[in-house]
Amino acid sequence: MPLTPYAQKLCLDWLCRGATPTQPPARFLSWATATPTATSAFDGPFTPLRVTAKFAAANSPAGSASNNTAISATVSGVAAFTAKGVNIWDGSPTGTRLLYGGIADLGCKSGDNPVFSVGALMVTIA
Amino acid sequence: MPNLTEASEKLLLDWVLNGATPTRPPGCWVGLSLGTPTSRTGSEVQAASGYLRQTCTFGAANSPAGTASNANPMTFGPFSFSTAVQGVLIFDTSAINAGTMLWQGTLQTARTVLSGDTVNISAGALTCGLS
Repeated sequence: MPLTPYAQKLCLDWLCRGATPTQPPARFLSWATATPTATSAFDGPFTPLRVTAKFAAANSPAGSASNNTAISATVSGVAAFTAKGVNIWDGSPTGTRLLYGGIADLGCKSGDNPVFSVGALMVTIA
Repeated sequence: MPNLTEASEKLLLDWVLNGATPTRPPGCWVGLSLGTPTSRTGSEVQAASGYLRQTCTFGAANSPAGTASNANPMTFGPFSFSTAVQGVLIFDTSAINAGTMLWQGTLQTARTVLSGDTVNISAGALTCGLS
């Protein structure tokens, strides 16, 4: 799950001590209607647009971290669409994107509640 | 992610995702590796050869390039006997064989230093990247 350029700089500055970055204050997840890229989030029509995402301590040496609470939202205002990715942000409804990645196509229609159950969203930076 | 060690992957994941409260590395010290380092281990050159880890200060990272480079030059040696060097290691501690390895990588060209030689890394020549 790639880091955005913004998060790459945060991480490099923190680890290498080239600057004093501020730790992202929170983490929110959004679903995307296309596979997100480093420059485009493609956020989908959800209510709320972003939902809180909480993670457990990372595993090592696996180099991954997973959500420790379920993450869900409600699709609204569209007949149907396909979720193709997710983004993780440091704020909601504004803020800056930290990570992004593709997921298996997930068909959604208004009223649906797509969910990541506990442990289902695994983040790696390898 | 190229060249991060397993230890630093966990540090960064915990820091970005706040799943734990990692301790920020207190500094960076660069070392040399006899063999090709991995994300877990590096076969560090030993002090008997005249080698010491060198303090490394990084500039602020570039964005969107996603890289950070050393701001200070570093000199290893002079070496007291011939030594083949293949990799570079970055640790959070100055003492040889101690601390946590944060980054690892191979030299673009492996070097065999002779007695009396030094290995020099110019300012800006060592780049760490996350892109």
